[in-house]
Amino acid sequence: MNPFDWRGPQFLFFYVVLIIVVMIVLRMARRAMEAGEPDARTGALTDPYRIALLREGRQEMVRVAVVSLTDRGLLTVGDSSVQVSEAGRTTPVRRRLEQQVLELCRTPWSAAALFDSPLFEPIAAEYERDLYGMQLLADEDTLSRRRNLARAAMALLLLVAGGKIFIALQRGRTNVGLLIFLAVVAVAYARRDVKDRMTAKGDAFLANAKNLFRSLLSRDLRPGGATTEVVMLAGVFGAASVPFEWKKKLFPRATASTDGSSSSCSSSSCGSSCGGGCGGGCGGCGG
Amino acid sequence: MRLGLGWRNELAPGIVANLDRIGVLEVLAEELFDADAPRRRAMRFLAREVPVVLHATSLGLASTERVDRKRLDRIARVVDWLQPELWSEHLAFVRAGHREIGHLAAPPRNDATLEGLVRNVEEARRVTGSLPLVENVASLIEPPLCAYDEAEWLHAVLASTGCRLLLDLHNVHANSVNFGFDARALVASLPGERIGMVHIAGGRVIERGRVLDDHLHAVPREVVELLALVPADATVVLERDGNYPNIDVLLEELWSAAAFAAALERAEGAERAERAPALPLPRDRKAVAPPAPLPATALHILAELYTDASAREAFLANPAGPLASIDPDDLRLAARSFERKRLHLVHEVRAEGEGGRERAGQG
Repeated sequence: MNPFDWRGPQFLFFYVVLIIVVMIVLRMARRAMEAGEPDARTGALTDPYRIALLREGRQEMVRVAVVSLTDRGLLTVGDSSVQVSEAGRTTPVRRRLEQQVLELCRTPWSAAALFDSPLFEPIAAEYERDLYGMQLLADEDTLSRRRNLARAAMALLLLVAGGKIFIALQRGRTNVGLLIFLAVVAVAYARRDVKDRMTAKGDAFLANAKNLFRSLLSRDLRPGGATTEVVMLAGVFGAASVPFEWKKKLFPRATASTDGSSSSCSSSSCGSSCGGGCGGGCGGCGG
Repeated sequence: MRLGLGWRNELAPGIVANLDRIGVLEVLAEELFDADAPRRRAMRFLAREVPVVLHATSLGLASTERVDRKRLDRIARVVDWLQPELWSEHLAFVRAGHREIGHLAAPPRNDATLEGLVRNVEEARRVTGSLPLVENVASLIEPPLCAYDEAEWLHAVLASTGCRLLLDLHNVHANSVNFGFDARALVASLPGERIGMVHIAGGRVIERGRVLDDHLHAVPREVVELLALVPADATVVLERDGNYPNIDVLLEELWSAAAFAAALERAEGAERAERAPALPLPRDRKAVAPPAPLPATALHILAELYTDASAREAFLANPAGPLASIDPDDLRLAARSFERKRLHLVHEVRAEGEGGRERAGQG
């Protein structure tokens, strides 16, 4: 019954099962560490830019702001540039991010350059501080705990693989390539898992937000900024999920990928509890 | 005042995006009966972001018949997982003799109904773990076999059940127009400490000058004036079930109503201080109680008249028995209203089955 005495295929099967079990335990331990009930009255649901930042990062935050300002007629989108409209020059906006976008777009920008601009980093950093405080993004402490867990998992997997390789080599067998490959893949997976931006609590937050806003996916949205629906749709489900023609100029790649697929980003494809986000295709459940 | 909105799927995104401006959300219990695990998690999450109260429409507490145990169990399960601040149900019957009316019907306001209500409320408390708030209902027809007027009925309910009142001011207004009583006197007579929550809404005038409580229109001035008579710290929820305006318009309507009511209340402070003392508890019930038939049978007949056109016309061709005094035009009007509601529900269920929009709130 000593697995180290098992023959190659038997041991490989055992090792694959071990990897799966270790990964499940790792995921459960991480979830237990990072989940927990959401704080009461965080107000986190009311800011689409913060949700966008949580979901996909800084660029997405800017993309959502551009979508909202374009929808409200404060930005105009040309074939190769984005710039402030006449209304945008005179209409006051409330949020700092929007102010900054309008300010920058007094001169034309290419959409891609605007989304990449480092000038938004101070605002993003502010949002990120909020998200760290709410434990929705993984801070250094969280990453450190994850690393410790992952190290333990990797040590176990490498120890088992190393032991078997040692025994095999001692017995004159050299067909250990597949075992080494499996060990490397498992270690890479465990390391990748450490780097997730969001915490389990953040994943749950996003899933809940998508559920609460899901009726937006099946609704005829009124353009023109008459309601907050467009910006919330963009914030929660992805900047490219808005159903307006001008998005093709802003997000040609994302639009091409969604247009090219057999199913569009509709409620059926992305509107489930885990949602997915349409800012470049319907992804998985995250985390 | 703590101000809030009724949670409806059509309004959900606007509500969630404005949670920092909303003091309370009222969620329909029946909408959550079949909620899957992600939906339950999302609603629990929402309930941590903003106080949530649960509103039921399908129990039919004010009835001589026992409350449907299966529906009560389902509401208890929702109460259990959602952990709302409180839950509420209507002072209405919704079925009798296995016949579903499809909407909230005003019950005969008499001792038999009161007895049934007390029993049903106790059952509800036992199953859910808490007493519901009970809400006065609007009606297009003065229920037959009444021993109490509307104010006496509400006082009797509060005295007999121990429940607090979910005071629907538009229902009071509608009934006051439909049946000719003083809405202000009724609201002023209610003990403020027993008003657990307040509903405001808008309806419209339909045929025969009746006011229909359809929740599709802006809150009328009369309702705002009644709002000035409720305690200043009341929780007030604006109900809207269709014809949805922009969320900003809805919130503005809510705040304007509260601000106007507060201003009115200040202006009428003296009158409020001198307002009529609470009505004495029910007059001698036996002296005014109607004679036979058995109340349960009467309720069966009433449900049949509300839902079965041929039975209704046969009855109206030759009215007899304890319901003989019922107004034929009112009966037809109420029956049409119930029928529309049933058709609306069937339409919603079909739309749901066809993958259409989610079912709108009811009640």
